[in-house]
Amino acid sequence: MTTIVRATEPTVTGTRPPVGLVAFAVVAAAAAAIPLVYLVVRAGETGLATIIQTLSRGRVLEYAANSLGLALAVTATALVLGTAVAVVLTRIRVPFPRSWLLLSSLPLAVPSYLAGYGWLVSFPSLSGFVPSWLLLAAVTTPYVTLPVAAALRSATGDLEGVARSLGRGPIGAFFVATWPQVRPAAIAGSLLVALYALSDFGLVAMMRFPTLTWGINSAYAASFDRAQAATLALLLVVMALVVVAGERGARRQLPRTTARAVRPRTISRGMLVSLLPVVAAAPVVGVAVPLLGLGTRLVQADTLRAVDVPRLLGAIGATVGVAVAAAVLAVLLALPIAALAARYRGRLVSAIESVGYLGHALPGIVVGLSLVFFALAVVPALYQSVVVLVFAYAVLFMPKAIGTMRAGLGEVPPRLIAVARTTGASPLTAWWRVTVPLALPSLGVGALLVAIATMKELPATLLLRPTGINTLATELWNRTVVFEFGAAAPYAAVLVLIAAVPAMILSGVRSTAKEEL
Amino acid sequence: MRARRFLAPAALTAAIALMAGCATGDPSTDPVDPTTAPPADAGSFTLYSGRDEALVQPLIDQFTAETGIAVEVRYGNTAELGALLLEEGEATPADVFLSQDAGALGALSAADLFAPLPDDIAGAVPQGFTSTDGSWVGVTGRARVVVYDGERFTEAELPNEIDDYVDGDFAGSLGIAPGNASFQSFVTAYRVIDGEGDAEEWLSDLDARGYEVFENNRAILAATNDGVLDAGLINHYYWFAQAAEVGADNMRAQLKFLEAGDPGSIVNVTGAGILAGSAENEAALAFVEYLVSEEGQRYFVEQTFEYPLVPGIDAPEGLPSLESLVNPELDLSDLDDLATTQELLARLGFI
Amino acid sequence: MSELVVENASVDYGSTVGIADVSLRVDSGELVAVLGPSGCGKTTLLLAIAGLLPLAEGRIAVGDRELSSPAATVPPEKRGVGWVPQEASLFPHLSVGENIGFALAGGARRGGVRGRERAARIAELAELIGLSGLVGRAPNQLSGGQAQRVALARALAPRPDVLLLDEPFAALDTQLRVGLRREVAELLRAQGTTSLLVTHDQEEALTLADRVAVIRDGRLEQFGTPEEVYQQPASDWVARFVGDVVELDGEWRQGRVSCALGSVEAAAVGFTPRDGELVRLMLRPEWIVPRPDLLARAAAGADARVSGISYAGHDAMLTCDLVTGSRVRMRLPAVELPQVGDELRLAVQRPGLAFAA
Repeated sequence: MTTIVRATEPTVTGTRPPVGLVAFAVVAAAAAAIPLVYLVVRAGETGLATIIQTLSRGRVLEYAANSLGLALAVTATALVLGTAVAVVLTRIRVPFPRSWLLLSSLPLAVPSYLAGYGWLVSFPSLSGFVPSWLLLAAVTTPYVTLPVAAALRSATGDLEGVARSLGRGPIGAFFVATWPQVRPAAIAGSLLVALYALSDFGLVAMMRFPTLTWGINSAYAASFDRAQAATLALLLVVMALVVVAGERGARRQLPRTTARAVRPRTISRGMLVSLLPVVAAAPVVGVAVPLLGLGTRLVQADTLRAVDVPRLLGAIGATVGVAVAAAVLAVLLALPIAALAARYRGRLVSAIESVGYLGHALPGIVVGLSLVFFALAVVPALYQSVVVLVFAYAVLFMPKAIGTMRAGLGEVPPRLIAVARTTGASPLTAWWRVTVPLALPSLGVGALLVAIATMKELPATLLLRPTGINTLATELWNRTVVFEFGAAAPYAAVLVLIAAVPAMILSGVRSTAKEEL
Repeated sequence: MRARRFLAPAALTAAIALMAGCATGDPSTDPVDPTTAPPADAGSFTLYSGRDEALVQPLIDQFTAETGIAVEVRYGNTAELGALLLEEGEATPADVFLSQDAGALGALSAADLFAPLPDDIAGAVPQGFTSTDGSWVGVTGRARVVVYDGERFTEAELPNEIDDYVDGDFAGSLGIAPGNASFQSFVTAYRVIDGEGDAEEWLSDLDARGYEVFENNRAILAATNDGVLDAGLINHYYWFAQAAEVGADNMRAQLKFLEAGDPGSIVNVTGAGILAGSAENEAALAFVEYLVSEEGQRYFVEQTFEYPLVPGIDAPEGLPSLESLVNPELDLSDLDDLATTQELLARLGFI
Repeated sequence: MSELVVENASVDYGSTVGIADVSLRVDSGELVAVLGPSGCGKTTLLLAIAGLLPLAEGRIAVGDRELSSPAATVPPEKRGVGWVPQEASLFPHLSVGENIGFALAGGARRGGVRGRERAARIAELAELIGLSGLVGRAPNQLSGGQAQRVALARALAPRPDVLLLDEPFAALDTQLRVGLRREVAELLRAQGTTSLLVTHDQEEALTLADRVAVIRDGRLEQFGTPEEVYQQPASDWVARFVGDVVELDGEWRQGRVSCALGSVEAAAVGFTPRDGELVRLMLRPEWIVPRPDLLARAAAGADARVSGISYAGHDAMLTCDLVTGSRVRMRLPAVELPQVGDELRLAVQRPGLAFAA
């Protein structure tokens, strides 16, 4: 029997969040705000006149327009394609659905610069907007596919049946009845895609498409003008805040219904085959072609030398180690913010959440330098230690965890907490014994997303890593920079393989909070 | 709940991996030849190297084997390391900075981050290839050249002066890396040699005739070698490195050295400096000395095909002599004025 | 002692009023039903007693402990008020036993003396609700009725002073509902737990409760024993809500109402009618009986023809058309029922209720 949870039932504590929770969330947001503070300090060094002058250069406006255009195009594409793939894989009876879902999650494991490089190997004349758009869309589509698939699994199919009985066709019924239920998941995933597209540098650099990140990098690397770089980065921050605010506006949570799962429909083989391009698009573009390209280079190169196994193992150890540590720290930092945003509204909550997302909008070099600044100023003994490096990852990738954790925490029915409290549990005890266990899958998802991103990260790692420690990404970069493909290929292959593990786990994680009884 | 199942094994794996990572240690401090026991307790220093590992590490190992001095190396991109050093300021853990180009050295020098080098080191390299105030010393020279598609053009078909590439004599596609320090050094040299007005005119002409943008010299070389690009402006040694990998006969791209005195043929330098806080560090000093010693210079000649800057050491084979490229009117320290070049390039839309 | 006192309680939902000026008192060990239609505020009252909603006015106290007032609300975990919500709401990630034992001491979860005490209490409660064998089951493996019982045991585990039940049987099918509610009421009485049961089902309220509080639009309409509420409703609305009514208009004359059923003795409720005033007479269907012996007498009673029979197994509701044209319904035990078309002489066997027209 399906019932709709009564919307009139109040949450236990009312509308004011507990002070302790707000305090923790503010601390976490402060960590995420370190890059912002750094940017303001550096940009401010030159004075307002110079800032305005920088921002009104024609080239800067071109950068900004390119960044915005790219972000919009990539987000729209990922949203449509990701939702389509999720629908096909959950609502239509396909052979080996779990394998397909797994495959569709693989692009997550491929760093964007690797995808770009792999394509350039086979098609060296690629450049400009279109390849940047399509490749970025391919590697970011899983950010939409996975949460939408999870949401579809737990969405009720009854409403669609009702819509059909009232005369809507299958597509219309989907939009009327099912889309509103999965929309929050799709929008949250799109936010990550948009921020990723804004902050990416590796791919657009290879495709020679001049975006703000290109401008920022030029400012650092060519003119050593940190103030100018900071000014451009602040422009990027403004764009990101607009995107984050937009997502919050579009995210309207429906009350959770106890769901009757939908049985996948059987369709004809012909139609199945015609759907194949949809499902295969992202994995082919984002994984298969680049890896093939790398493989051919590996075969061609004369510099294929024996792999330095201890070195490779060291890089693997470092990569996995920092990824796990970063995942744990990011989840811990994101938890108060997500908990706050899940249940409470208001300007303070919105502000805290928005600040939490900032790190993801900035290119790694900015976050890296901001933490150099911060570490040297505040904890110089820890400079160039693993601690600061892991902290940088947490600041960078906290946003990946905030969204899913907020959704998972929010899905725990308030009534369960209320009941727990009437049995004598304090709010904290109730949270720990009821909310956290039920939201644990979403915490796991957040951790996995952070882990994957950390494994692929490059610029901040180059800046902050302890001298002598290398991750797979930095080793790979060191070699591609000298065009030593033979030596680079094993690192590329291992990186994708290792990052694929959490990606595959992600594809199998079921949706959060089980059906309420 | 499924995630929970992975937490324990994942944490265990991570712990083991971290330990493995730490255990394999820092390869840069492993001595090369354990049989010749190096002098013990010879000191150590930290090097930030903008030159990549495959190139520099063997030299460092050689140095360590001979002197027993331990070197902790941080490899990276010159520009990013420069930005990092600027950001670190006095708190930097680095003792020596080995730079790929003069621009970064100039920027750091201008920020007073270098300690003055002793006269014997600063004086080892002739004026014109090193700093004017002794804050850093040039180590090797890299000539600007034109790389061209050998299957479509012969050397004779290509103009000898950089001006002729933009005002009509050359019709093929031309690639540049405007964000790259070596291109910007070239533009700066043009400004210095021929004046601001002519430099701007050259850039405008280039803009008018069209050009291909690349991120760096290697990308230009790769594109030329793949037949995608007709010609490009790069540094000489990249070609030699590529030729070493795939064989000189397999190189589709070929090099054209321009006339001496032409801005397009300037010689850039790589160099090294000692960071201000490490002036007393004997180990650091020993290394910089090593770089401009015969041994160090020969290493670069053999490994990187760059020009040695210390007099008396033979230049690599196949290269026109350094003297034939020197422009007596150009003071390398003037190449430090990147900021104005940046403004010019920005104003004209190149960056 | 654990008596529950609610005094002039009002709860606001922003612009809408949840409950207004509700006062009632549940004696220790008593089972009171809060009866009212959907949206009347009965759940609001419950949530206020549980401490999940603050009071705008009034007070709530259990024994000598002040629990709620406009100034302060004791948090739910410190009130000693248990709550069995609609639809069980068991913790899906815990087993039945762990759900039941949720309130029991934390450290005791591990083992030792406290652990054994806890296990013993869980076993005791599981047996009380008749589910001893299901202690290890997951909640999603239980039927609706079983889940409801587990929710009850969970709420009883910490020995609350007051137990609140929010329409606990609403989601169950009829057969199960009737049996389960009887069991639960007996259990609560045996335990001596002061209980407040919210329901919209009149039958449930009347059969289970010691006293019934009838709520309408946030206000308390009547608070009395089931008999009082049913036989002597305080208003026409209560009369209609708590059971079936037969309504006839008539003229008041000295303690009787002249209506289609003849001159019926009646008590005026809530007003003092003058002779000749038009009043509304309300009767319960079972107060109307066929009186064959009256067939001969013209004065008392009324003639009617049976036009419909609604058979319910144990009784039947007969629809009768009176000679005057009105239609009444009467309820008879289903033994030797008249047939459709039979002519009967009807009389009212006890005084009716007269309300202002």
